[in-house]
Amino acid sequence: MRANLSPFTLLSVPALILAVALAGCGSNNSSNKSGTSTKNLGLKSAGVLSVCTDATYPPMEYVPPSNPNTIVGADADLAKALAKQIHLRANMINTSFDSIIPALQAKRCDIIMSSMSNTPAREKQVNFINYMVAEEAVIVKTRSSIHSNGYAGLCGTTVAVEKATTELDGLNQQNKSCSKKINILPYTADTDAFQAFYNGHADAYTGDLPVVLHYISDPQYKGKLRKAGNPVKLNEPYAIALRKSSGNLKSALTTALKTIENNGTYKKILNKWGVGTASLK
Amino acid sequence: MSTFWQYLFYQPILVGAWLTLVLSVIAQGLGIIIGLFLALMRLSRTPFPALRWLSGLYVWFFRGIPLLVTLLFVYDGIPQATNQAIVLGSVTSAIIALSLNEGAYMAEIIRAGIMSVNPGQVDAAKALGMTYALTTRRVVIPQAIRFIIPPTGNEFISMLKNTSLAAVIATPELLYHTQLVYDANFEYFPLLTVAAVWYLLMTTIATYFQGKLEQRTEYRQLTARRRRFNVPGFRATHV
Repeated sequence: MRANLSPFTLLSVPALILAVALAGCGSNNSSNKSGTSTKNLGLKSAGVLSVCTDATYPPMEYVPPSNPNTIVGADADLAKALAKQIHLRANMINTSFDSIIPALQAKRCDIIMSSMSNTPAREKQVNFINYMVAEEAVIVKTRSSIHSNGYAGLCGTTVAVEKATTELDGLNQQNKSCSKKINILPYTADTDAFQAFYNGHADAYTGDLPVVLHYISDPQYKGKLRKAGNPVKLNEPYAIALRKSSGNLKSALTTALKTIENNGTYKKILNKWGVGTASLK
Repeated sequence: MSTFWQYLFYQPILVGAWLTLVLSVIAQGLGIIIGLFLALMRLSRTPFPALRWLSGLYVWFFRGIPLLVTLLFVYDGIPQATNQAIVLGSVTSAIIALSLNEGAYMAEIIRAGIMSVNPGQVDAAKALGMTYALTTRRVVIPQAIRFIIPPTGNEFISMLKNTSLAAVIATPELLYHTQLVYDANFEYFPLLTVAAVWYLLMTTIATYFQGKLEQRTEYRQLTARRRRFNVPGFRATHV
């Protein structure tokens, strides 16, 4: 007859599992063995600048078809340059844009660098370091009859957009003064939004200007797409997002950004990805 | 907490919950119809195996592909494959994908239900000179329903939850509207709790009605002899 398991024995197994799990959760101060002072940056992993980014936004951040295991783009290169300045290695982590702020707050990464605009609503959740000018634009099919500077001419049409973006806010704002409402279709990934538009679920797609220009000039869409009109310049520039508690990291990165702006690295990266006009003067 | 109460009866969320319910009922209904035909095809005794084979193929295919993939296929795949000739809206795509998927599961459930009916019933019906169609309609299926209801109730409850997958193709159901709110105000926990509450409410009510339906088709307690003749349509006075 099998002896009954004592309660202690029964509890010890889950307790053991819990102990192991909690041990792995200890916060990681970047104790850099090489001796350079990393000033207690509160990083997720020592020596690594973990960067959350939604890699569905070419040319800012995207997964190249040639290598699905990497993330490339202007933001990726900027992140690497900044990390190098403060003697860290950048690690890009693909994160859904509509849950990217909670990911940062849950310490799944140390910063967000994802063409994120510095908006008042987001300012409540995170701290920002501005780094690029942001503009929004609209794409329609070449043969479409839609003409719209900004969102003014989109009333009564169907527009595909990515969730949790300033574009979505802009469309909702426009809808307040539309007699015939815009049918807004938000999608989790920006590439889903663009595909939905291209497949005919929507009459137009709206995203940031660099992305719009990228799609229009992409050879596979040659001649099929055009801008609906003039883009809208936002008062809310692209900004690196940090946790409210990351004071040290913010100072370090602000200095790093100044450095690469001054030594030409910043401009070089922007030009490489065709977004030179969006630099922060 | 106040966010939770603020959004519990928020109009877009109520509208989303209603669509979830409507989608579930329609998709389950269509799924049952598809499943019934598939089950009968699978059980057919024709010399040519075509019907059995086709039914088996359908079930294999739609049970073998995740529902999320089916949804994306209908919404994103078909337009691209047909060069934008066939573009289905998000609600239509959701209904189609959910029904096709459900049909495969209902086929197996109905087939099991039919096979659970005492074969003696079919023999008796044949002895009385009833055709296959008549037997199926009036003797087999009425009895099979008793075996089909519990798993179907289960399927409906799953269906209520599966509709949440349609959020990825922008179907304006409950989860989709919940996400739109928390995307804007960053209140993930309260809003997801609101969604959970509504899903629980709908699944609990469905469970209750499933119980009621089972009671109505219950096999009453009878003596062994009379139980043999307790079938719909058979009058005991003829014994």
